[in-house]
Amino acid sequence: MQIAIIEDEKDLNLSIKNILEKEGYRVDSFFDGESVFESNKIYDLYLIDINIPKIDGLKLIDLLPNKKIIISSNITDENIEIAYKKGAVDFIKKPFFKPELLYKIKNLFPQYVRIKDFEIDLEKLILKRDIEVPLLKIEVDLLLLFKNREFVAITEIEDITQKSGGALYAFLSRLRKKTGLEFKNQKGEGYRIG
Amino acid sequence: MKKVFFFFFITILIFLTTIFILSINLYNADKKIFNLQKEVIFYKTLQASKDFLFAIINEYQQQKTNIIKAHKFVLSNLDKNFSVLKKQLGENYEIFLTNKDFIITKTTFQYDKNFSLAFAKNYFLSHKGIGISKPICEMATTNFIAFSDSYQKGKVLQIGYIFNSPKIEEFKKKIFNLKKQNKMIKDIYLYFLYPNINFASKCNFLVPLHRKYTLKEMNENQIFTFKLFDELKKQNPIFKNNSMYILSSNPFGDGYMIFKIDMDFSVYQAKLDKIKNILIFTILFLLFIGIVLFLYFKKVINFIEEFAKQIQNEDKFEYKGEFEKIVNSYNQTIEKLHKLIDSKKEFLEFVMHELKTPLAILSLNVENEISISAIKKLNMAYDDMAYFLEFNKSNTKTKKVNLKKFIEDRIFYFDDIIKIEKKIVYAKLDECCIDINESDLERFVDNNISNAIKYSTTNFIKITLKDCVLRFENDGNIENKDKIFEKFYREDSIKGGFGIGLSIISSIILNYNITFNLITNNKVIFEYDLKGIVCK
Repeated sequence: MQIAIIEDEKDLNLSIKNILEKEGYRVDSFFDGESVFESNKIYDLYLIDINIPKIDGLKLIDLLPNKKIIISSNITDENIEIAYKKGAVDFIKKPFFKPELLYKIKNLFPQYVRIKDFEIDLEKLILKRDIEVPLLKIEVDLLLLFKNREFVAITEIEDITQKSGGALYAFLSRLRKKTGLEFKNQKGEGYRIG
Repeated sequence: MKKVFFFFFITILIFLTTIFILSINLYNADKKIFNLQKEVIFYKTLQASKDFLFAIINEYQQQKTNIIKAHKFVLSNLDKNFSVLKKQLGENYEIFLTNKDFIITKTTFQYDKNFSLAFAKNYFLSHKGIGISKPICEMATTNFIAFSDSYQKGKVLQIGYIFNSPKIEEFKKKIFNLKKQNKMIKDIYLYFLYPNINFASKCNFLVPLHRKYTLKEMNENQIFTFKLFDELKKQNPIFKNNSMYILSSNPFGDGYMIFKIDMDFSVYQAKLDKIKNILIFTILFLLFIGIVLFLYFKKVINFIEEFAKQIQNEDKFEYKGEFEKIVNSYNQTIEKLHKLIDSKKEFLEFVMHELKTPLAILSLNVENEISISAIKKLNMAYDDMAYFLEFNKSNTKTKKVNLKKFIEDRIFYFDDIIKIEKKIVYAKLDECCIDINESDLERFVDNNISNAIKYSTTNFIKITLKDCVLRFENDGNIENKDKIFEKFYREDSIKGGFGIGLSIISSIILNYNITFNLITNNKVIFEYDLKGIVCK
């Protein structure tokens, strides 16, 4: 998932970028309202400050596609109303804390599930890592077992895939070839993904 | 202010009433003096008239024999020209001769020609020889005349003696002067009555009638006089209507005399009217002054009230008029103060602006709980300050807020502070929707939670929301409960003082008409009844 930060305060911009990248998002920083168009890239989410040079943040809402979150300390009722009317999906008041930011972003994209260093688009059944790999529904269900967990028991894998023994092994090795993900069996714990 | 107004009004009223009563008294006193004066004039005139009558009697006594002599002289020259006889007798004498029907046919006194003396027939027949009457008032000329008479051969001869000697005239002049000096005297009348012969006559001895009374008039006078006589016998003297009467004995002998003065009050009335006019004018003038004062006073009060309002608003006062000096110096002072406040505010706003970004960066980059708690406290102070600075431009847009969820979010936000301060928050929240501006609500809730954390003596904090009554409860005690209460209800508490947190809470509850209650009972409970702003 690609995120653009349009914020003229460099330190703040980079702080946000840093946090989001740690979470696995692909992030680009822009320091005024114009440069975001020069990149010729379409982002899934734009974080926009209202008071930025060249093009005003509120105007940017009209010009940019996809989802937009306003981050601003300038939170008059009027600004909030204008922002929502123009199509901003959320409003974060500065100063804000990491959990609040992450919570709001995750809430906006429930179809993107992060597992380890990859992301799965539940709608399009695509695994995003360095490249995009289309997946089968059964493969997505298997990978979702690893969400927020280190190990998954063999029985759980057997249940969800309805396969065992040689058939399961063949299924996993096919998946490994397709995605580059390694499935390692650790005795007494179960399978680990890496 | 109204009190002063009322007092002023009452004072004017009392003043006017006093003036009015005094004037009425003056008016009455004048009336009394006039009444006294009236009587004085009456008796003075009466005395002068009596003097005049006695002068006549005096002369009558002296002239009586001369008159009889003159009568005898005429009797013996009846066939001669009377005017020739009169020349011989003197100017004072007049001669009358009747025919057999008692009608005067030959006389030197032209007024009496053809006048019938039949009314006195009995008198003429009552004596033989020459009789002489007392002086009688003669209306046509106002002269007093004494008549001698004799009845021979069916004809009556009368000689009249006119009392107009210089001495008598002098007395008469005195009466005239009196009348002249006292314009009130209109007419003076004398009535002579003789009850034994049932005869009365009316006499005006100042103004000549230039004719004889008719018989009818004489009859009327007679009836009038006797009626008057009956009244005067009961009460003497009488003052009635515009006339004064007194009954006395007849200075000429038998019978009575009634003295009457007709008064003309128009002169007196004019005088009284003049006083009355002065009185009315004075009252109107005072009333006018009163109204002018009243209006001026009202203007001053209006100005003061208007001015006080402006002072309260701490605003400039647009005013042109009498009190410009005060207003101008006030305006200058207020302008200076505004400038001072503005410059301080500008500085504060600058500082606030400079703090914004560092705070935002810090908030994003701190990891450990103590730092997060500290920065959240810093943010809270920042938000309070920003709210405080923005207060005058306060956001009025309200929206429907799920209070339960809102408070849960805020408690979650305070989580780091709560943990660091080692507090436990129990929250029992029912559903409640209120209509409020969200930043107002945030300051309101945050400050209440923050206060509870700050002042709790144990680790216990309880937040309940039931029937839209929100309570923040912590252990501990408040010593100056009244002071806090007072702070809560003093309108200007937002302007500083007790602690910015309480000030903000108080301004918000005043703004939204939230009922506040402070319960202290080993626990401190801030209770807010939000029923007034529940969603409609």
